[in-house]
Formats: sequence, C-alpha cells, structure tokens
Amino acid sequence: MTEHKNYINVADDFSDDPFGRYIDDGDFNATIFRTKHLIPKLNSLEDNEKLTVDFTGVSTGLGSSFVEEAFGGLVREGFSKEFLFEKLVYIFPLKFYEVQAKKFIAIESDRLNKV
Amino acid sequence: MDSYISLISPALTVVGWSIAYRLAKVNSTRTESKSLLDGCGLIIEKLAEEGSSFFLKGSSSLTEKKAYESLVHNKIALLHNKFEYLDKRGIKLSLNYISELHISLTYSVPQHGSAELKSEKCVNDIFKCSSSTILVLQMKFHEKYPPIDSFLSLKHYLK
Repeated sequence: MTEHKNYINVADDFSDDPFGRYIDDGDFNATIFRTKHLIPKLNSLEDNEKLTVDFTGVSTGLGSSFVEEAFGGLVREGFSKEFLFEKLVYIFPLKFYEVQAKKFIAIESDRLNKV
Repeated sequence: MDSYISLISPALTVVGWSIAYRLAKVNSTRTESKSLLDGCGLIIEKLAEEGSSFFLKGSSSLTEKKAYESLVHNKIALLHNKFEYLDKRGIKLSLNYISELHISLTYSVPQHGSAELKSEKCVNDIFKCSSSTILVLQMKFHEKYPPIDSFLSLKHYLK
C-alpha cells in the first residue's frame, strides 16, 4: 500500500474492484472509501493543497452508485460544493466519470440547500 | 480580350474539379461518421437490452451485480471511444449523455433484488435515456450533414 499525503491511488490504496454504496455491498463499498480515505485526506489538506483521486487502476469500472455515495456523500458529511470543486482533482480512465462526480456533488448540494 | 476568353474554360474546369473533390471528401467523411454513429446506436441499444434484462430479473448475487457493472463499463468505454472519433469528425456530443446513460444503467444496481427497488422504473429510465441519446446523435449528424435537397443546399458543404 502506497501512502501519499495528497494522492489516493484507488486501486493500490483501496481496491481495484470497488462496488456498491454500503457495508452490505461488500468490503470495498463507497461508504468505506469515503470515510476511511477521502474524508481523512480532505481534512488534512492545507489551504493551498489539492487532493488527487486516481481511479486509473480500477479496470472493472465504477457504478454510478459508487460515485454518488463516494462524492455526493461528502456533501452529506458537511463538505461544501465550492470546497470540493476547488480541492478535488480527479483522474478517471474515462472522462465522463468526472462529469458524473461533479454532477452528484452539485445535486446533493442543491438538495441540502433547499431543505 | 481573346486571351481572357481562352482562360475561362480551364478556370471553369479547375473550379468544377475542386467542387467535385470537396464533395467527394465530404461524402467519404459523412459515410465514416454514419458508420460510427450506427455503431454507437447498436451499442446503446444493446446496453438498453442488457440493462432491462438485468433489472427485470428478480434478484442477483453480488458477483452477478459486479459482472453486470463490468459489462456496462466495457460497453460504455467502447461508446466513449466512438464518441471521441465522432468529435474529431465534427459531431460533438457532451459527455453528459454518456454519464446519464451510465447512471440509468448502474445507479440502482446495489439495490437490485430488494423490495424497495422498482424495476419497471429502472427499465423505463434506461429506455428513456438510451432513446434520447440515440436521438441526439442523429440530430447532431443531421446538423453536420444536412440532406441535399437542392443545388443551393450544396452551399453548406462548400463552405
């Protein structure tokens, strides 16, 4: 396992076969990824730092449920859309996943702002 | 004056050939783009079929769910490549369409088999999304290559 301060290599640090949202969906679900990897790294960022999340080693692809729970879930955990848009740098094997992650963050932010 | 008149014929020949060359080039690119577009349509239709069969099946194991997601990912990757080729040929489609299609196919996979999941709604979303993506592809193709109804409509291709 490689540990870099502002970098998560999902395949090496978490799993090359992540799946699902919750614990029932297996050991490598989005909730665990968010709570054990994304949140600690985001919390430890300095003002001028960004967090790179690299999914290139994930050969089996990602479900949109995983993307929603991992990134949209960050908004539910209290991170603002502006903060996440500024701090997160995505490396996905296919570009549309980035569009999707940003969309889920924006949707969740809008939903919570309306409540 | 005579020397100018003698130049008209070769000049018209050059113009004629350049128009014919340009139209042939447009036609071959159009054929390539149409073939790519038809390929995209087939992949999308196949994805919609696979997706609806998956969601209409009563339940599935974790392995089956992962296998389905992986299958969707591979086909979407192929579609993504074809979209990039279409983009290079001037038919530009937002990545949002692929994202929406992917969402309709995979958003509810972990809940598959649970009582709260409405399979018919998932299937409906898949077909709605796949149909609209195919429709947009065809619209973009017609914008880029409008039908030639008259001699004047050739102007679009000679720009």
